[in-house]
Amino acid sequence: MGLIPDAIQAGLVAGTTKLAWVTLQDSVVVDVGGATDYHALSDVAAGQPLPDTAAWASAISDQPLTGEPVELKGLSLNPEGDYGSDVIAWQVEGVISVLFFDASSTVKLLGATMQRANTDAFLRDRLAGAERMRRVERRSRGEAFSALGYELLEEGPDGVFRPPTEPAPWLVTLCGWEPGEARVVDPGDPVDYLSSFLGDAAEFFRGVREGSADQEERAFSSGIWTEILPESRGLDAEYRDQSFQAHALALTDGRGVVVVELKSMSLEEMQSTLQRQRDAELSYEGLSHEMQVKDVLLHCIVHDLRGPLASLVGAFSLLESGRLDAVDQKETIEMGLRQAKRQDEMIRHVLDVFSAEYEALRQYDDDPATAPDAVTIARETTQRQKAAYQAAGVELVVTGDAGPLPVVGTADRLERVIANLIGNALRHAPKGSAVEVDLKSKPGGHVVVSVLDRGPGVPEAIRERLFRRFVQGGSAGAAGLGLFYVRMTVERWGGTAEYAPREGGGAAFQVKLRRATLST
Amino acid sequence: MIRKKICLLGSFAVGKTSLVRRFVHSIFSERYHTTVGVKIDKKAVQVRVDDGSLTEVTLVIWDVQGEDRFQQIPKSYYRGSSGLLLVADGTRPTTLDSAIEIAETASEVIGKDVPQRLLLNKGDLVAQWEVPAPELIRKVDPALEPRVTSAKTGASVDEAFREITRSLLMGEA
Repeated sequence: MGLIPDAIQAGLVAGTTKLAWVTLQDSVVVDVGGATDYHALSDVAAGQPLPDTAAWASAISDQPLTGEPVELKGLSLNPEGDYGSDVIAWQVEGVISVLFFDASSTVKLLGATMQRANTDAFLRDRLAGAERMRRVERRSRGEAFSALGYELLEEGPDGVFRPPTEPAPWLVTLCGWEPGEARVVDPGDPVDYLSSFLGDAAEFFRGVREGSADQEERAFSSGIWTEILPESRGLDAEYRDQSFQAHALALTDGRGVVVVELKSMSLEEMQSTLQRQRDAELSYEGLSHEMQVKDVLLHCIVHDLRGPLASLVGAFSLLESGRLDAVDQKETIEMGLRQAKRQDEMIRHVLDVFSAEYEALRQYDDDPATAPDAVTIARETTQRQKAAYQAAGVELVVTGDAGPLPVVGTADRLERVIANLIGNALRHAPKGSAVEVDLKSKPGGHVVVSVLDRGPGVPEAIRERLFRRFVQGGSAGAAGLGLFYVRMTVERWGGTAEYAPREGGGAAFQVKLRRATLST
Repeated sequence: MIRKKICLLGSFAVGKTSLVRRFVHSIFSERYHTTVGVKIDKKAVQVRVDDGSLTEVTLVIWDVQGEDRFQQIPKSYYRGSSGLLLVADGTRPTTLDSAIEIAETASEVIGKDVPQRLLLNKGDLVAQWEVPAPELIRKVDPALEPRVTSAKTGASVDEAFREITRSLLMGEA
């Protein structure tokens, strides 16, 4: 295919303005070009069947085209024109080539100008010879590339790509060619990697031919791509990853070829190098982050532990001075005790976070028979904190569903979660107000525990970061780990922790837990 | 059979390949294996569209290399995409910005009408997320319908692929 345009490109036929050609395969027009109007070929279009109305077509199809050329002289193809066409047709490997001349024209063949009547045999022989040479050249080139592990796809004049020689099995698999199927690849399907690249290649070749592309740039490559392909034919074939790269080359004679490469060792080396670089980058990123966190953690812990310690030292110094009366002594001892308890609580927070992060916290109970009952735990936790609330003049109440409300989690950690929220509320609730612990079963298999206070609420500036580590709501005595612990713990159980301003003023912390059911 | 191309885009090591392996082959490996170029996989899925009909479509999934200073994504990779799944790693908040940037570049090639969805992957490591999921989700354009996924546990993976398939079949952004 492409014999006549190729011959023209090769300079075998030149100088005539009345030359036209048609190539056919399986009665379908593959290519048409040249002086088509002159020879009344305007109805002939690539990709379409040959029109029945073409006089020369019936003449050709009546002839057994088996290699010997058929010559039709002086046909009147254009009734409106006062001239005749000479037609030569022949077949090579199923492709019929038809050449149309002006019966009175002079054609230039390899520089020798001859009258049309004397050129037929010469032209035919030279074209056949050129095609034979080209086939040998293509086969040699294809075999040479194949021996190096590459496969070729050549762009045809019909715009599709074909291998010039029998392709390697891997290319057959990549292109999905079935036995007996035409070995062609249509360019330009963006869903298919190779076809998409061939579309780019065809555009590139056209640019080089038309002179619109940079003439120095005669090649470009695809990226590497990997497809999961069968290793053999048949339904029980094993599939494995195979990687490829393609290179488009614009040849100096105007044709375009695409070299497809099956990547193996070189890809592994590239992959391994890239992998090492990225592993190193990830390790560096992780370590830097971890060190940053540790620095901040250490700073916060030291800072927060110093506060109560300073109070303790002050209390002991006062007691040691012996200048306090009995009432002041009692107050100082109580103050020292409060600070010691505060420090103890902080240390427990720190330990909780460390253990939660570095030890397995995946254990939870989701059996409804044994899972922790959120109502019971909320009541027990509030009972334990009653004294602190009374001392601060704040009321603490449990409201909502009567329960039981079994939730996914563990009793001790859930108690810590609720204790953190209640302790947080106490730090902000004004004297004389009430903190409410509300429990409700929600549709979708959830239980929501809300802790509501009438304090100032969380400043808008820190709301978004509230559940992160080391974020403090502005109160003393908080290392900024309590809410982080709450979020981390409930999320591990499949729940969430959120904050919203409370209607009417104050803060509303909500913990959504999964309800333990038979299906969890 | 209808064929549709979906591109998975995002920084390196966010779990794009793991999401595809989970969705197509139902497997997961802890080992990080960087992708060179593009890895193409296919899966036939049936989805029910709004009119109630069951439609079968072959998803041609382009698992595109993570972009960084070592590897750039050629713009031609985006061409012909019917949908984009943008993937970020919840434990590395900066990967969210990268995913959004890559999506903007892709939109220049394929337009803004192609459905795009955001997956916040590594949901199984939520305790290591420095920024909580609700906060990350709030940062994102709601049109991307962000969701938390885990290639490790499979959480929301199948749903994410099926949802974008439904959207692209119905021509919705």
